[in-house]
Amino acid sequence: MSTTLPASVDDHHHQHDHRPRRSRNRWLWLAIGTIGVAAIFALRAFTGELESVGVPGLTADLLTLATSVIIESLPFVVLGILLSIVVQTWLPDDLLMRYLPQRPVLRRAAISLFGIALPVCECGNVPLARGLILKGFSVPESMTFLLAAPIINPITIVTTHQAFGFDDGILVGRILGGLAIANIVGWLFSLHPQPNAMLTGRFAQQCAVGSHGPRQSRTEKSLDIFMRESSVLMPAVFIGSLIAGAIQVAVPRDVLVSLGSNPLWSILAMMALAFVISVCSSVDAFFILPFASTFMPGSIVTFLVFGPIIDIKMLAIMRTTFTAKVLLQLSLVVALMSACIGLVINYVV
Amino acid sequence: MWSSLQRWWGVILILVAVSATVWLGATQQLVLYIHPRYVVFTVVMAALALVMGVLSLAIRPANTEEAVAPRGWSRVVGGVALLLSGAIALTLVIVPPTTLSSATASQRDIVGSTVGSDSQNVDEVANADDELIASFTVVDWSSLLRQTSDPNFYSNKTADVVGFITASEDDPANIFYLSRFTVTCCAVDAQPTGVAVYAPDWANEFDVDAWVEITGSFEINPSSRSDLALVLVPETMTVVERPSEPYLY
Amino acid sequence: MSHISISARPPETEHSIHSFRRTFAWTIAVLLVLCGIFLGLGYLQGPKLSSAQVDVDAVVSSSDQTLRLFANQTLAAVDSDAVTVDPDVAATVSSEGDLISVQFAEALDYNTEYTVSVDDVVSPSGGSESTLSYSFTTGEPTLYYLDRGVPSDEIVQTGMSSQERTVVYSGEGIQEFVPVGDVFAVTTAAADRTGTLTLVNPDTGITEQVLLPEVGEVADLDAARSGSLLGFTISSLDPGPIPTVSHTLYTMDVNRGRDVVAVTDLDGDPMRVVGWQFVPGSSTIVALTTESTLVRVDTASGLVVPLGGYFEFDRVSADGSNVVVVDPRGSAAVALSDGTELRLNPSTIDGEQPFLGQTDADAAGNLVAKMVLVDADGGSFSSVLAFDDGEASRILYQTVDDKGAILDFHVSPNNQFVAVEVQPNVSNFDSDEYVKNPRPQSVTTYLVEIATGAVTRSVEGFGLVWR
Repeated sequence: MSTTLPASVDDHHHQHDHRPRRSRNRWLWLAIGTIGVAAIFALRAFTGELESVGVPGLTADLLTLATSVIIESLPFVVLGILLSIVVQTWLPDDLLMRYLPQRPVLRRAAISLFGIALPVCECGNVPLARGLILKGFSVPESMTFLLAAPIINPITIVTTHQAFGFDDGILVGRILGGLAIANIVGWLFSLHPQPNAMLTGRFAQQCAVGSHGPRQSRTEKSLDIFMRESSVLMPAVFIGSLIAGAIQVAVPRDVLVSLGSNPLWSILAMMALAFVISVCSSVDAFFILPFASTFMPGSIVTFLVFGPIIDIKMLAIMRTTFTAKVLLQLSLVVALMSACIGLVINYVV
Repeated sequence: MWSSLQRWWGVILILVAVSATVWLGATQQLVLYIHPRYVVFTVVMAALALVMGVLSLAIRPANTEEAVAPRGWSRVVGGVALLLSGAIALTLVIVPPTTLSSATASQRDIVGSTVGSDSQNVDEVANADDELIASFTVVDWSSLLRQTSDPNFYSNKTADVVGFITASEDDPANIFYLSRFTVTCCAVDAQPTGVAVYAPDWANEFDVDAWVEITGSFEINPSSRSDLALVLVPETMTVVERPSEPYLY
Repeated sequence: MSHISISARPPETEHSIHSFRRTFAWTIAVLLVLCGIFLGLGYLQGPKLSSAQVDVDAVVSSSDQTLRLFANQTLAAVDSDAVTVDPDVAATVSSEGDLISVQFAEALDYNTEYTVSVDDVVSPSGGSESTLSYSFTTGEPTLYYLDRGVPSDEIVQTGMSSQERTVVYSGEGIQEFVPVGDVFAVTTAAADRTGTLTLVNPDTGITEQVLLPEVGEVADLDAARSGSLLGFTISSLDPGPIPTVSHTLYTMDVNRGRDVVAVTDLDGDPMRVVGWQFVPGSSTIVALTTESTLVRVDTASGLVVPLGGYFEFDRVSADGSNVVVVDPRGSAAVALSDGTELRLNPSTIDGEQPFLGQTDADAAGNLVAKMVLVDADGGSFSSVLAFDDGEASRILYQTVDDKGAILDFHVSPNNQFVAVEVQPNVSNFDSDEYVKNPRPQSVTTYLVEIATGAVTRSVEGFGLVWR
């Protein structure tokens, strides 16, 4: 590993004066990191040999379930981060923006399809959407992108298909529902007379001035994105997995069954669950799969459409960009539309 | 301190999770958690993340976002999230890997499970040879039992099945379920399936959750307290090691 | 950068804050109304049928077949009374999760549209009740029969309702045939009664003669209806001191090589039988040994279960429930499940007491039998095929003016039809003069519906096989 250390291929544009110290520090930190990882492996190998650590059945099952969710979603999270790095760092800025229709409706429709080429889950989309506004997109347009991208991102489609196949129109309902919500919300907010009033003061100011961060090499920028994305994603995945496991273990099946077969409560329960567990769109299909046997398909679609757009984590991230009032309006419209999509699917299927 | 911990927390978590994953992969235990089709993908991605994580520690890219010091509630929420995710990360490396237990199996309703309901077809099995029948799993048998409870159908068929013990609710003294979990994606969606086994006073010799291998045939249920039509009556019943692939797919 | 970024704001953004708020409110209102409508519809609708599974061919050939109805959601337990089947047949119901299983007690009628309705289906959380209804049309059997003629004998395939006549194999001197697996087993007899067994694949046209373990007459061909197990007896040509001694029963699995295996008796010696048959729908054999013991043999395990002592073997009933045997006290139906014996006494036909001949006794105790009616003065008699429901017997088939003879009959596996082999006129002596198993050249097989006695079809030939 030490031979691939990119310190030697680092850029030569800045911070020449710090190079020797930084370079030495890098070797130090590389050693610390390697030793740390080795220590984790050693600990794991030691504890793995133990018969049991005295965890009772249900708690052990809770941990098994949580671990399985983490391990199942981890590769997709990593893939999402890697692709996000490629898109943000290694592709030209305006690649996707060159050929857009002029009519607002068509333009938003095209933007809502951007997600297919930007396989980033919702957490990665907020920085991208901010970038789009900085590059001159209107606020409703970037909102359209923000809402559609996590749902029609290819990883999401693949994982949803892995989990549900084409059963009961769940995959199709999710894709079409997500596109519809994004376009309608985009249209609604395009009627707003002062788009910039929807942005937080600090971000609006930043837009006015333009982007200027510290300059970084591509390698550094890539690793920076890796750090930032994993800091946002990993706690959410860990806590989400614990909640998903806890619901599985703790909530009696009868309760789930009677909730899941009620037209109103199954929708509301799914929306509440999506809001709380705040799991990424790229792996949320795995979270909701066990509920598919007790909940009606439309309710599952509601979870899959509502979750990527509105949840605790997303509201927190979006708050960096939009005003509280806009987020409230957005949540209301998206919640009603997801509920509506779920109810329609429950009725039709 | 706070902001740099927040900044590095994700990398630490990912390194822990990825190390645990790689170790599970190296010791062939990933199938305890996920469907085998994901194993290669998972290990490759974990290895990539491991390299990225260590490199990012080494390079320590400059912070491009001006840190906003969290205040009040958001600081509390952030702290709780940090602690909670840290605790889960700790269990990832401390708790020995294991399968789901009978606690979850009974929680998820063995009898009502319709998993693998078409894994075997009565007409095709009616005259199947012994070799095929010997290969039948708990899922295959429960699929057949769901299709027909005609004792003649089972009369010339000897079952040889492995599973873990889950107590029956109707007649816990004499009947238990020999269960397996079926996994379509990962352990979260594991659905239990099982066949009822009639073994009076089984609890004297066997524990709940123990893995046993049973050979025997399906006969009319002698228990008056259970309304199942047919049960597996064991000829031999031995405790076995947990199979290397405990779930069925 | 791009020219897009400096383009003018789209005109629709130039609305007042007032109109934005109005549109927003309208959008919310419309969405609320839509949600309300579909929520109401959802409450009113109740559970729906999303798919159903039934094997329309298996359901006509064996009992205890299951129709599985999958609802779009989990259901509360379904009451047995809530299920109706039209036309009416006995069925048991079980439900679990989103699945309702309807098990038909008996095989269903051919080519009939059945409608299964489940009333009062409701989700566990309540809401409105709905009726799940599913219709399916049952399959039709394929019929095979032997048509002996000049220059060669033909095995013919046909259907219940079609007049199509497809020759699957033609050859000389065919004694018996039976479809087994993908092939047909065909026996012949030479002038000295030495038999051959040939396997014919109608698709490829390949025929192969099976190497038999002993030289002799090959007879009593039968095959399991599903699967690939074939059985037959070989009798040595040199009868020895006791002529019946060498009817050895052999089986062969045509899908697994060409090993001809003797069925072993309780004492471990090859079993010698005076009559035998596979139990329809299984690989179990029922045989009457030359030592007059009726046995049931599980071919998979070799387990032999004695069922009693009898003299003659008639047949295993078409539904596989009973075997009909004869001893000096008359005919008896022996239940294959537990060996209980039921003495068969035919009910009267129009007040007259008939004599019982060959009989098929189904699970419900109904008989389809050859019966002989003798005039009060004993001067004349007529041979009929009759159906006996335990109360009275009803003539199913009788030759014109009683001039003919009923040779044999084969009840369909679902007890709906009987194929009756008839020589229309016994005074025409027209035997085909085969050394074994000779038949009149005029032999005709009629398909008679048991419920009505109506003749639905006739073919020139005999040995009809229901598949």
